[in-house]
Amino acid sequence: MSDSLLEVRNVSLQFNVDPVRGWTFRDVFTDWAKDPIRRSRRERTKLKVLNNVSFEVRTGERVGLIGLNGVGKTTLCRCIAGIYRPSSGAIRAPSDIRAVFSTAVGIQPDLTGRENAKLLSHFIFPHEPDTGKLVEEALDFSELGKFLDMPYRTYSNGMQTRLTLSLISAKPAALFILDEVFEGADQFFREKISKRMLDVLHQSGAALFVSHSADQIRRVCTRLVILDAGRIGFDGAVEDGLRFYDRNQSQTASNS
Amino acid sequence: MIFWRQVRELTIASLKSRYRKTVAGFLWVILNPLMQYSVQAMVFGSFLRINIERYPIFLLSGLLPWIFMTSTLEMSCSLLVTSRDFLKAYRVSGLVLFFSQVLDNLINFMAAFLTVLIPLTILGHVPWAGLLFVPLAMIPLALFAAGTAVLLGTTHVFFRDTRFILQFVLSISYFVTPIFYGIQLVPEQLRWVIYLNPLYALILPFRDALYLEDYNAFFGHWLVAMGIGTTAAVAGWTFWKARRTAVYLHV
Repeated sequence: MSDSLLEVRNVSLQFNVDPVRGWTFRDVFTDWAKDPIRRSRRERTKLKVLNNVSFEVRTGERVGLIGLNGVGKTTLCRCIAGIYRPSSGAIRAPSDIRAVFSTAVGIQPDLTGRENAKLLSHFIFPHEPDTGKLVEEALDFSELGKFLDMPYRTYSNGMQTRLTLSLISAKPAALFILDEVFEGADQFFREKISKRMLDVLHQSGAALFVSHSADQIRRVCTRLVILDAGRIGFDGAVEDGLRFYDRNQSQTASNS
Repeated sequence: MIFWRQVRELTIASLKSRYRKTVAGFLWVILNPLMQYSVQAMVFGSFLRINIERYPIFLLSGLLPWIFMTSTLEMSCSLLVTSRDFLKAYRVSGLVLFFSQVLDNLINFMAAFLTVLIPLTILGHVPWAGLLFVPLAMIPLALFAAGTAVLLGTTHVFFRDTRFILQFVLSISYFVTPIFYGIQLVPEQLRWVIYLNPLYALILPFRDALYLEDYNAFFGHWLVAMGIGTTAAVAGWTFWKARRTAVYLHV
C-alpha cells in the first residue's frame, strides 16, 4: 500500500465565546464600572468547533470533505494547513502544502492583476525562489488578456477567481487543500480549470477537497469524509458517503 | 529565507502601490515629516526661541526617529484587521506583514532624512562622522518599533479601540519626551520622569551621534537602547506565539 502522507490524531479545537464581552477597551471598562460582581462571575461558553477528529490520508488519495455550514470543515483544513494550532491532538503533515481558502483576495488592490499575481505567488509557492515562469504560464492560462494590466480592484469576482485558480494550479504540491474554490468561476472557465486542476492533483501527493457540489466530489475524489458537528460522521467510499449524507440531511429536515 | 523573501516582495509592492496611486501619495510620506520638521524648526527655533545652538540639527536628531516610530506604530496597529481577508485565504504569517510595515517605514525615514540633510549640508551643520552612527542607532529603534507593533496589532484584534488609545498616548508622549526641547530645560527634581521614558532612551543615541558628536556617550546610550529594543522585540514575539491561533480565529 502507499504511504501515509497526512495524519490527524484526536484533534480538537475550542475557543471562548463571550457574547456579552465588549470588543473595545471602553466597553470592558464601562462593564466593570457598572457591575463588577456580575461581570467577574459570568461564565464563558466554550465553543467546540472540532471534537476529537482522527483520520489519515495516504499518497494518491483525494479526499472530499463535506458537511453542513458551520460543522468545522474550514477550521479542520486551517488546522492541517498550520494556520490554527489545535487545542489538543496532533497533526503530522508535509511541509509543501498548498492551501487556498478564498479566490477573491488581492493584496494590493491598486496594483495590476499581473503584479498581484506575482506578489501572491510568493505566498502560494513559498519554497520557489523564482516564480516568474510559473506566473507567466498561469496568467496565459487565465485568458484575462488586457485585464491583466488593469488594477486588481476593477476585477469582478469571476476574474479574481480565474486569476487565483490559474495560479494555484500551476504546479503540483505534496498536499493540496482546496476549500470551496470553484464556486466563483463562470461555466466555460470552470470546465477548463477543472481539467487543469485534476491533472495537477493527479501529479500531487494528495488532496483535501471541500465542496458542496456532489458532481465535483464525484469527479475529483477517491474517498469521502463527512463532518458532523465537529466530529467525523462518515469516512469511506464516495458514492456510499453521498448516499449517507443525503439520507441524513433529509432526516434532519423532516425532524425539524 | 522564505520569510524575508515574502517581506521584501510585500514591501516593494506597497511602495509601488503608493507611488502609483498618486505621486502625491508617495510624496506625502516624505513631505509629511518634512513639513512637520520645518514648521517645528520655525516655531520652536525662531518664534519661541528655545535656546539651543544649531537648533535645526538638534531637532532633526530627535524628530525624524520619532516620526519613524510613531508612523510605524500607527500603521501597524490595525494591520491584522485590515489584512484579514488575505490572512484567512492563504497560509501567511502575520509577522510578515509587520516586518514589511517596519521596512516600508524605514525606507521612508531614509528618504526624509536625506531630504532634510541636503539643505543642512549647505548650511554646514552636518557632522559627517556622526552620520555613520545613524544606521547603528536605527537598530534598537527598529527592534522596538517591530516588537511594539506586533503587541499593538495583536491587541487591536481583540480590542478594536487600541488604535485610538495609541494615538492619544503618542500625542502625550511627544511632550514628555525631549525632542523639540533639551533635557536641560527640565527642572532637576523632575528629570526622573524623562529618564524613565524608554522613548527618550531610544532617541539619545541619535542625539549623541548627530548633535553632540559625543561618540563615547553614544556607545553607553546605544547599549541601553539595545536592551530596550530587544525587550520589546522579545515581548512582541512571545505575545504573538501565545495569541497566534486566537488572532486567526478572531480577526
